[in-house]
Amino acid sequence: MIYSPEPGEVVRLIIRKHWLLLAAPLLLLVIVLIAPFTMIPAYLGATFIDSLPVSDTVIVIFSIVWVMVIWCMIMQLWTDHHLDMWIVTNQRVIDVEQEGFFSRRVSTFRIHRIQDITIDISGFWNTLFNFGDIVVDTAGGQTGRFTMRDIFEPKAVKEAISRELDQTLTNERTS
Amino acid sequence: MLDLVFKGVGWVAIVAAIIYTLFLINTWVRYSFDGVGVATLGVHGLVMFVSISTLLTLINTL
Repeated sequence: MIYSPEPGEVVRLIIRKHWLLLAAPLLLLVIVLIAPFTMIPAYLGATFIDSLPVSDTVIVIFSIVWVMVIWCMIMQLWTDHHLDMWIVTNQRVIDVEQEGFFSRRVSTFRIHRIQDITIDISGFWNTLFNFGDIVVDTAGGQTGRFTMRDIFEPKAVKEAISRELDQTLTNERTS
Repeated sequence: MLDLVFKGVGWVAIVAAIIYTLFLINTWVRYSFDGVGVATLGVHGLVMFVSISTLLTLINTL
């Protein structure tokens, strides 16, 4: 399990990077994957492979190794994208940074410690596809700044976190 | 001699793919928050199994 819920804690929102950040490199990898199988016959001729001084088995071995390497890169990309997230609960926000298989950073801050939420949508693609950064400042100075980059609809996420903050503060006042 | 080199390449690829798959399984089993992890490991496992089986067959025919 990625985190242990506290008593009464409910997950409100799971935020990941925009799908475009996954789709663009994925498309590139797919092109790289199929390029040798289409470009070699297209540019060097259909008989080029047959003219090589190696057996067909060797060519198939290299083709499979090529597919395996690109496939592993695709899986790495997908793992990075899917396991990199913000989990917003009714009590706290959990910031998970996944980088490859061996690097993982998990930070947590309490909702009631939030002081300021800033969103930043800058650039052509960001504006077109409505994704950007969200920065949350918490009580605790410079170390209390949390940034989630390239998330979809940062304005809606900001409003959702603000709603949770208001709810938490109201609950604290009444209790 | 050349066949021996290609057999070596094939075996290195198989060992690397198995180690890589184990690392991937370790990461997803530890950190997957939802059922997507099961689907990911299933698809990955299937592709790697087919690739490794084919490679094993091919390097034995060299």
